[in-house]
Amino acid sequence: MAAVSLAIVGKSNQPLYLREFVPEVGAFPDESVLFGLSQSLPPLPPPSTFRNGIFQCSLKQEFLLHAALDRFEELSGPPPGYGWRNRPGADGMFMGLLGVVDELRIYGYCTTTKIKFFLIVDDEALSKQQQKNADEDIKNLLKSLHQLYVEDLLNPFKSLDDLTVLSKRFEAQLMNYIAAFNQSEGMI
Amino acid sequence: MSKSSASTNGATLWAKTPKANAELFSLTYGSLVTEVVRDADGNVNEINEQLEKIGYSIGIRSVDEFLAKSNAAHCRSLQDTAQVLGKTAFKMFLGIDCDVQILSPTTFSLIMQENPLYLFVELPENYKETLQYAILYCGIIRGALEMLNYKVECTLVKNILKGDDVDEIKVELKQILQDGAGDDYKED
Repeated sequence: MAAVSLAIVGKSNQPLYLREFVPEVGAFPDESVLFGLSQSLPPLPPPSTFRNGIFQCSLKQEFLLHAALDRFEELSGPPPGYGWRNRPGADGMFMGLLGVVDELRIYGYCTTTKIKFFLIVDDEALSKQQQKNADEDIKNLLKSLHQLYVEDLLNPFKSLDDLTVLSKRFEAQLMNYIAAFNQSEGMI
Repeated sequence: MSKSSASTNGATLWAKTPKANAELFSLTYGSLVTEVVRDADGNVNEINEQLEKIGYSIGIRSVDEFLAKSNAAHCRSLQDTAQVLGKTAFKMFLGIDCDVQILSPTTFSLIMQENPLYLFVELPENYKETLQYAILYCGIIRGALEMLNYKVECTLVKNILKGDDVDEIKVELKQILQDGAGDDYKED
């Protein structure tokens, strides 16, 4: 199981950070044209996906994100949707599996300040126990990503009007966490 | 005054001083810097000058506190002063262990491996090379030594935020001032 991409969405559903970790295999060939970008995506994951004010990511990721946002709104609506929220800390913030598309699974994590983290992983079918452990690992990963986001927010030079995450330190540490996650999950 | 007694003195003083939250300290300085940056409107030299002036006024006041609380012996030369400054004073106020390097009879360097002011800070691109975040320390040293009749010039030679591995402050003795009554009180 490997993490495919991460999205951080803000309070008013504006994108704060979008990043793919694996170049899309079999992606739409006209992707760059569809986005109106003249450069093609490099074979390795791009170092910075924020260019000219827009995040670069594949359409597939965008579709998944929108589906996840819809599902999230269902979950956070009137009860019994609120059931998962009553536990303290990361347990209460972890929303769990939001949806499955093809072989991709999308997990959500929503902080008390309405900052939402979506992690897309590609996955094979696992036994119930293995799936539980995997979920636990994903929850811990999202918790550390939340911590990273908070550390970036504490940078005194960060503008409060535009909350997009542009920090290199954030990206570097994020890649470390994702690499560690992919390695540990690859064992399953 | 031997090297080791300066550092043991520093360690005991650090243990006795009341502590403040490091995050609060760093965030307060961070917001001070962003305020100065906002006022200066892009003129980096002015920003550095302002921060140095703030450091200067801290220095002229804290030297008295330091001399009252520590029982540092009389310094017979600039080398002794350097040791007391780096090992005892910095340790007492900030908890930092500084390395002292004597470059010449009138110059010495203080080398810091880590800096509590830098917690969470990441300089934006346009200020990365030019904004001297730790110039506050230069001001403090200049102010403190001026109260002791040493007129010095302090510069920030190496800067962790810029990418170097340590912080280095170079202190150069310019002049030894004379004690004396001010103009109003001079006898004819």
